[in-house]
Amino acid sequence: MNVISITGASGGAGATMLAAHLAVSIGQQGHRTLAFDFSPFNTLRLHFGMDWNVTDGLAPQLLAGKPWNEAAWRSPDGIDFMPYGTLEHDSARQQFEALFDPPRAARWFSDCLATLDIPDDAWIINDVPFPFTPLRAQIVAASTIRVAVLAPDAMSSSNAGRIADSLRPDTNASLRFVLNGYDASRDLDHDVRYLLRAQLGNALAPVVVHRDESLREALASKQTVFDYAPSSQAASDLTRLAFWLTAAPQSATA
Amino acid sequence: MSAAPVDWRTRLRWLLTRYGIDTAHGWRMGIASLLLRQPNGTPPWRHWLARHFPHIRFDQPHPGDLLRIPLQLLWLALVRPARPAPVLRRGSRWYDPARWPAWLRPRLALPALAHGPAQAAMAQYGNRASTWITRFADLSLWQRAPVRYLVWGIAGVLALLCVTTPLDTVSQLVFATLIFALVFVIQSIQGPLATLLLISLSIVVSSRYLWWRFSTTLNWDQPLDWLWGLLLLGAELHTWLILVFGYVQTAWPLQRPAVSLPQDTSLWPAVDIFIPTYNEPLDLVRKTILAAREIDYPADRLNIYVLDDGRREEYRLFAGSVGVHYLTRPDNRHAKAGNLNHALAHSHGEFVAIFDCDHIPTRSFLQTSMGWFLRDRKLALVQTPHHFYSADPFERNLGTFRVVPNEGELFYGLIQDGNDFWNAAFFCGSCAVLRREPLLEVGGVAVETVTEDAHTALRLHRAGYRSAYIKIPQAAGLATETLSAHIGQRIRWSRGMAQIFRFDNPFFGKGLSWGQRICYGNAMMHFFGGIPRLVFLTSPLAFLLFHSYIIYAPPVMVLAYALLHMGVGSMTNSHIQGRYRYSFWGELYETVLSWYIVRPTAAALFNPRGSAFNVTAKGGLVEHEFFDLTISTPFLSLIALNGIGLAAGIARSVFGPPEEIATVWLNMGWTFYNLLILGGAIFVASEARQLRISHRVRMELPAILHLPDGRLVRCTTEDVSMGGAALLPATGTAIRTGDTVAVSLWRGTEEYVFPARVIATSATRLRLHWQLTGTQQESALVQCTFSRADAWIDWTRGRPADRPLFNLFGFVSSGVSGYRRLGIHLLSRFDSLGIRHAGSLQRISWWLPRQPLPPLNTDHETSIA
Repeated sequence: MNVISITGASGGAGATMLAAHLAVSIGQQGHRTLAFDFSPFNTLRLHFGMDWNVTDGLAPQLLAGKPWNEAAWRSPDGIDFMPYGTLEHDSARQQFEALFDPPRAARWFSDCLATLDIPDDAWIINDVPFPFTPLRAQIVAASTIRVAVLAPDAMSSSNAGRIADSLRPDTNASLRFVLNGYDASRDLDHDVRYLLRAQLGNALAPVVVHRDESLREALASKQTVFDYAPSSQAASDLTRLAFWLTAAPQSATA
Repeated sequence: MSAAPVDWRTRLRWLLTRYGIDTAHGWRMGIASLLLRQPNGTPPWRHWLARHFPHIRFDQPHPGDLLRIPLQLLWLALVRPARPAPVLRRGSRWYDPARWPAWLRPRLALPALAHGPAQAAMAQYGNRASTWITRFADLSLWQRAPVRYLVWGIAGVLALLCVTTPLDTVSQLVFATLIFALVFVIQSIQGPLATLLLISLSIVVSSRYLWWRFSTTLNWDQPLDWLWGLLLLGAELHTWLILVFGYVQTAWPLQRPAVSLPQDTSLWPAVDIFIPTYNEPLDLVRKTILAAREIDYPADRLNIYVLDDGRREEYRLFAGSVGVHYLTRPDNRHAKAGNLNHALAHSHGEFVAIFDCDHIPTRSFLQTSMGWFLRDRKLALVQTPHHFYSADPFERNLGTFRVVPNEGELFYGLIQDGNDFWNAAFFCGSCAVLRREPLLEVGGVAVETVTEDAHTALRLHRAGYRSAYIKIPQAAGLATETLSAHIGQRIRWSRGMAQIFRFDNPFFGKGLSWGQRICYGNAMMHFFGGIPRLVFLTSPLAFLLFHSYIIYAPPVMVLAYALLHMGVGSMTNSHIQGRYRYSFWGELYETVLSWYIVRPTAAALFNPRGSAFNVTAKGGLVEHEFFDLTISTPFLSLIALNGIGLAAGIARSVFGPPEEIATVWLNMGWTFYNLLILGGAIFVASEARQLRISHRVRMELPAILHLPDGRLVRCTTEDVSMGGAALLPATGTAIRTGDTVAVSLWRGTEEYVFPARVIATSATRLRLHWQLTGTQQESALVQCTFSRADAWIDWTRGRPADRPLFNLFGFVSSGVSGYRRLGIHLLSRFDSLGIRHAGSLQRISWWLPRQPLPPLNTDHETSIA
């Protein structure tokens, strides 16, 4: 089983978007995929067409003391995903995160995965935002591929080293960086990419995800860009990115 | 299965209903309906009539139809109807078999036969023979010198016997048949050994032919016959020399790979790039300068010099703005050679790369070409191919661009590679790197002749330096635009070669190996081919008009000797050159040039210090289709002569003595062939239109279309030029003409965005006009397109090897088309006369039968059958 965690280097870098599209694209390659949303904004589900008013999800389910796996959904396209769920108050969120405060449930995620009856070549894709709570740290620790999503701005390039440190406390996993929102007509984007390539080497994806309006429009119509605009550049970028990530899971390291 | 008996009336009614006659309302009404109103839907028989009588209006009958209908019926009875033509291949033209009239096809199906089971068996046999031959060649016996000499001696004696033994007609015919069979078998074997075998066979039979011609076919009693005969024999001797030298030159193409430079870039030597220009527009030269700036090489060791003999202010400003050196000199002595020498004195890099001002280098040019210099200290020259991304006048007028190899492809694909084997690859004036020290040692670029490039290389070779040829296209330029410019360029080359022949004859003097002498010699002899070609074009007239037996032998004997000599020669050449030159097309190039190079070569041979030369004009426009009468006058006179000869031949075969008839026919056949070549030459001389100043080059590159609303669409480019591009978007877009968009292209992994305006749209294609802002974007565009390292690598992808019979058909049809175009031009020249003639032509064609149209769908066809 392959486990990917996807973390945005800054807010709005596009981690949730990437998680949703990787799930679809890897699924299209013929693998079984399951996407988890660990972000309280609970927006992963929107890419899969889930109704905004439905509040179900992992957090409410666990808080209600029900089995976690009953919170999973399947999109009309056959993608399995686990929404975070809508929590009305901050206190509920804290209550949910507190479920995983050490030493409680320290291996909860691994145990969950162990109970799944899925083939070995299945992919688990997790949207794991900063900051790393105990739950999120546990997800990242269980991931064999850890992806950081960078925006083409100064913050990304100055932060890339720090992100690398926080994403890789051990050496069992490979670390990858993806540049999202790239616009080749802006000089800064060229420069940031150049710097990142020098800094990160092979860990930086050779494919950038372009700043393509199709992506925003796709989300607005609650679709992935593969359905909304299959011949867009973003669809092509994301497909190739999925191939790059799945082709040789252990080869590239920072 | 049993059927209820059907009464004949019912059957008849069915039948009539099927043919659109409604009998439900009684017979009379049925017949009336047929006459008076259009039945519902067109009945099948009308389709049939319309298909098979496409030119006859049955609703508007004409008295002439009384003759036209029987004529068409006769035609239908005798000629096979056309099958629906398959969809045409891209870039296909008139020689596409899919467009041959169907009734011609069975007779021309020969090439297809060659790929049947017989061919497969032959290939298998060939493979086995090849293994056997290889094993034989690997025997250690051959390593001993005495054995080798002995075998050479025996082979030499046998060959001599084979060449000189006289045979009677029947024996010679048997001999020819056996040789042909042998050649046919060897031809299917791959590899250099088979090539060498074919070459030996071809040399033996050609020598035999010449020997026979010299020893038995000259009529010494008749001075006129003797003179004509000797002239023809001289021409044939020239052909024989070219053939043999050509074999030596191309027997073993070296196919030298590129050698990489050391990892440590501090070891890379300094290179000066020279871009000489005289009168070319800056727009043409900008690309070259911008591309040269971006060649992948350490910036501190790359200096670019624009050598402007036109001393133009805009050049100086441009060079300054992009940071390249700009050199001028007070005079223009010795043209390009003098310009280069002047620059040599004002620069100091260890190496000098030279580009004609329209040759755009790829970014990898120096890394591909410099490696060998570091490996071989005596290496003074590395030449790479001249690649042309626009059509030369032959290709444009014949419609053969990228389909049939052009003249240059034989030279840069095979001959230079073959020269390299003999250490005789020569400098071609552009796309080459020279080592400065040896170049200065031989006195810089040679100024004595107008082909300074070949002459300089010859001097380097004489001085003991080596040259190399790397057959990877690393730069591309424009071909000559018009036929007159093309001919002007070739005149210059032939003049220059004749000058070298006089000043610095490669057959004499010291410092050259015999291989080098042959390679250089052949390059020069090639340009002396004008007179022999004209002799071949007029020889049969000697007999047809003047009754002079120039080949004093019975016609069967002539065929038995000459066909063997020409057949084996062309089969061998097709085997060697198949990918770089198609049979028969080369004849066309040489015929067109022959007349024009006769005088300059002769003048230069006798007075090598004669007049000045013209610079090859490039980048021009041909605004209207026109027929170059000045250029084609010599061919028109030759056509007239041959036409008279043909008429005389017909007269002679009717009224002449019967024992001469075979000779008459032989000469008429020859005349007919000449007329075909001349027709092709005429075809070349009628210029097709050329309207773009920046040539759109077919290039399939990934691209992104940036729509005005911020969406990005994946696409592929169809063609690209510095002016614009055609895009094939992956999906339909709502783009309209006049919209402003942007297009991303890549240089390696680096993406660049270019603004553009939409100038035309169709369901699948967008035509764009670039709206570049500044030199930086222009430079990026050159890098993303013309100077990509792989830009010209797969230029000939998908082109098949030579298929002689197939090419014969294309060649013949171009000859015929030449006469058609000539007719059209002549008619339009004599305007009033033309209209009258065109009218009468139309009147005649009105009566002629037509090919039936293909069926609309198969249902109708079956309902008729």
